[in-house]
Amino acid sequence: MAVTLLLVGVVLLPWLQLSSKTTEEARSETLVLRAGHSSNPDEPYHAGLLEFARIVEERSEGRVRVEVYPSGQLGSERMMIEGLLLGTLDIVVAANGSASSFVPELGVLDLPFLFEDREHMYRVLDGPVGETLRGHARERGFRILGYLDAGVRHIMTRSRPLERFEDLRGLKIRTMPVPRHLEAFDAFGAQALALNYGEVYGSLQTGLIDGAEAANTNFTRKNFHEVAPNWAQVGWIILVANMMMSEAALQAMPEDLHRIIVDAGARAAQHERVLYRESDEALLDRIREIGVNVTYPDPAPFRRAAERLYQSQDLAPRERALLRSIRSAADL
Amino acid sequence: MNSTRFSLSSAAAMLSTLTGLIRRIVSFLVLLFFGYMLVAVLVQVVGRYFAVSIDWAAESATLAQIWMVLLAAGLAMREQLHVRVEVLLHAMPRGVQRWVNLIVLMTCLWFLSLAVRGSIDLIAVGAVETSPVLRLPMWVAYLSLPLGLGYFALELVLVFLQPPSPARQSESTRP
Repeated sequence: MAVTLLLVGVVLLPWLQLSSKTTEEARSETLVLRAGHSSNPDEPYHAGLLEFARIVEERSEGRVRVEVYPSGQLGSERMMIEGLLLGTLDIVVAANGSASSFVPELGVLDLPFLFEDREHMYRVLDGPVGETLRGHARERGFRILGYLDAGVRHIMTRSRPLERFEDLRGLKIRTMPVPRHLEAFDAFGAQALALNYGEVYGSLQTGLIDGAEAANTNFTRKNFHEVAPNWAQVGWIILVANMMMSEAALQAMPEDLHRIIVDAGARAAQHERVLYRESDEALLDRIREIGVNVTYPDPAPFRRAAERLYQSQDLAPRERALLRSIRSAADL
Repeated sequence: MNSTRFSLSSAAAMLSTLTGLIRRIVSFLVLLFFGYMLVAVLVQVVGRYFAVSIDWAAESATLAQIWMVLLAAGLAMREQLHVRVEVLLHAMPRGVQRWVNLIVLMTCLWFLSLAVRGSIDLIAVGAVETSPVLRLPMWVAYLSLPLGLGYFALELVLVFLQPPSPARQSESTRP
């Protein structure tokens, strides 16, 4: 009998403990926010988050401290976004494709050749479309603190350089685990394969995949050129990254801290965008210097394939409206 | 006195019928998921040579594997196939062994209960999150945690209640 009680006791224990822990946390003086991302510490995401940390710490006069964890040490992007909802992580910078698994409306930004150039992208994200998407994210429990730049993306290959669109046919290309990205590469004639970012280098090395996509920045910083020395400048997508927080966690903060964080997010995003662009542009020369075979396939057939994809897509009405606004912003 | 003993034994009989039923369902599901996983991975590997992209095969195989592993953990517990260090335990006298086993059982139950508690939050997240290829809500995967670990806990308790005897030894080596 006593044994039975003991066993019932240990089973119930984890379900009771919870409340005492949270009050303990609430009592602590400085609020520590933990931020995670999957890039290296020498990449723009990190600099953007450090800028965020600097602004927040300065303006809150030390009441809030931000700890930044780079290189995916707190998990994959999806795991970190889950962490926001579970309360195990406070802030994440993740590629839009990871966030669109949680906020389907963000999926519109995963379409290939959506933006004409970076100016177009910034205009859209800082305008009404960005606001609408923020609203949809809030419905799902997330606050988008800033829209960051994750680079103009090109295609790397192991053995065969891409001189023309047709060279991509049948190659196994890694994309992010994002439906629209997979569909895009299938539409380009490749075999798209979704892998986690941390597995890309090894998969290129062992030949599990024939290629992958990246920006000049992470192609260099993650040393992908060592295992995939062919680099085709296609610019198939300009990637958006979202700096996100849990809406509930943000609402639970005192009003003044809330404002500081939202403002710092916007400023950090601007800072990061400048760095990403500079890094993308500066690194192309370096890529040539280290002996990478840089090719320039004609983007027209890629665009045509993307256009067909747009037509075949079963876009939700909400997404169609967003797509129209994005397209019309290109003409400005 | 007699009647309470009767009702106790009938309750025990009902309980053992119930666990028998659960075991049969779990064994069936483990076979099903394992079989599906084999086929899906094979299809995907073969598909690679014909330049057919079957990305749903990889994702559904992962899903099947998750369910298989979590359910089979309980089955493995029943057969006492989980790795455990027992050098010290076997050097102890019988009476002490029983108490050590009880402490181990309590620790394991506490852990499983904690994991089930955590999985409830994860399932709530899974209502918002969708899988990359099939776009299934992620609770489809996360639901395996409370069910698999709950079954694990059941087998854990049953193994403890079974006194170690020569009969049991031969039973576990049965094909």
